[in-house]
Amino acid sequence: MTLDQIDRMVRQANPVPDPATLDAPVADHTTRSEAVTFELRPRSNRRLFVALAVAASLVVGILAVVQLADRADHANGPGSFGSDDAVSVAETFMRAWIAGDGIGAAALIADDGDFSAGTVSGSANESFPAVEGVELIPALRDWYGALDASFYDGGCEPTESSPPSASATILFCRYSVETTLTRALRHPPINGAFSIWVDGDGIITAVEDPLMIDVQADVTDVFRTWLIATHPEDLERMYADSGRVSTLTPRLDAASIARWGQYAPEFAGTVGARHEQDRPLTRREFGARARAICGAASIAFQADYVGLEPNSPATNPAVYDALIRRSERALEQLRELPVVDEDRTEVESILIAIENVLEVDRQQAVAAAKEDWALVRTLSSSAAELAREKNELGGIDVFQCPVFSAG
Amino acid sequence: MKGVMDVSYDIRHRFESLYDAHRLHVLAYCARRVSAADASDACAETFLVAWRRIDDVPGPPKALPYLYGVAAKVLANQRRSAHRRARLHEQLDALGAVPPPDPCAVLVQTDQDRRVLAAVRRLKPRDREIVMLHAWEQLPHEVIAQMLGMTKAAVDQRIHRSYERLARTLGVTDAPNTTPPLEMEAPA
Repeated sequence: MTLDQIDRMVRQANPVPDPATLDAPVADHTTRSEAVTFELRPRSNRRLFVALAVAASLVVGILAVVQLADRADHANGPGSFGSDDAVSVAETFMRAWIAGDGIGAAALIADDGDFSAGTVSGSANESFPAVEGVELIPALRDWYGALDASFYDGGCEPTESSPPSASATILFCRYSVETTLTRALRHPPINGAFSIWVDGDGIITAVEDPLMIDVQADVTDVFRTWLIATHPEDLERMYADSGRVSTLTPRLDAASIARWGQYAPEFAGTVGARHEQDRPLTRREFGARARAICGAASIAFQADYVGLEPNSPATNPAVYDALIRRSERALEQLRELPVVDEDRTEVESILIAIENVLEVDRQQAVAAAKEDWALVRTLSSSAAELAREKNELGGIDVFQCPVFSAG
Repeated sequence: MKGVMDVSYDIRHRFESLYDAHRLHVLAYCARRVSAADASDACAETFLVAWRRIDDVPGPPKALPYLYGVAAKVLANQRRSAHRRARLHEQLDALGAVPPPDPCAVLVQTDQDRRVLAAVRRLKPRDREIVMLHAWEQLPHEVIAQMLGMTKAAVDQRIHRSYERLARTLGVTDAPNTTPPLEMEAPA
């Protein structure tokens, strides 16, 4: 069989081979997607509805059969390079990374391998600029070193989406990290995770850290604002994306990294000093801290959730257990934050609203454990309604508390 | 005042032309990558971005790759979006207590297609995207290269390498290296 034939097989497997079929009429395949409207062109809404309905039915069906195919793959038994071996390979990478050995970590990746951080899709992305290329790993690790980063290993485990018969085992390696910047702002350690592809020969072919940059925005935005005010002449030298806002793409050359190492302690000594321990927080400060805590909890939950793929998250009791665990911890952290007297009532009402949603989530977890999915669905509606009410309280960004599942 | 109305009409006309020409392609692009609900949302959001940035949208033949690029970003952002609880709820609705297989999909999907889909899904994300753009969106490699900020040679190489991996995954161990599937004509 030639690679031409592989090409034809891939083309043949196209889930939507002919986009024109998305316009075909259907009678009974109605889904929630039909509620999506496109107000800019009302004359086309009917056609769009039909297209979306067909797409919905096609994709749901295809996802179902792909899941069946995955399960069939699982039944084929382990390959020559088992998942335990792959975990060991991934852990070797993590040890090198955590030890600050960027060169060693990069050397563990295949010559034609990939590395990317800060993007989910791997494609060019203006909104979330990526650090891409194995050759950038040492510099990226040096940048973390300049920020006096301490990484804490959260362990590696294979994802369910990497059955032994596949061309690669995909490991999910969690970590948390604190830096000069997080310490200065009393920000909790940032949770992240590497996805590490290990092929059948035990070679790492790709490493991705899709969440790193996005998650750090809460901290780095403060630093960036301070930098603009204090050392604007170095902004261009330190950021690859200078001029943009709310994203972090450090310039990874020696001059830039040296400045990060110079200015981070200076930042900690000035801005950080204003965040002295146990000082009551204003509503706004509480909001910033809450956003960080809830965001970190949400990321940690996503890590739990990704580890469970491709099992349907909606019908997997473990998802609900993880949701409760992460949410309760986040709520506990929020309650530990001191608040100034004048804002205490408002903060309390927010915390009560979170607790109300969480209580329904707990009931969902119980129902899920009993596989009573009808009750889960009912409770999900209630939770969504309470969450909406919570979010409408406004003023304090606790949108991601309690955490919730990715679809 | 008349001038403003003319400009408004021109913009609207341009957008409607864009929408009519490419809506289904963008919807298909999204439906090949994410769940049905997310695909429809992403398609709508892609055109919303196009509407807001209509002056930036290039003319044919670059408009469609541009929209694919926007859709890729929308899908990436969607993964991070703050509507996950709602999607979980939708997913529950869609699945019911037991997820039913779609009989139509079962009819049109052969066992081989399912195996190939599963194997494609397990490619590294960037390789997977390139393979999909090549085989499913049927974009020329030069266009893929422009979209992803790579050289055409790198795209060629990645497709070749991905197909070798697919061959191994699918149990085809004797795939020769001499016949790279480069720039094939789209099947009729």
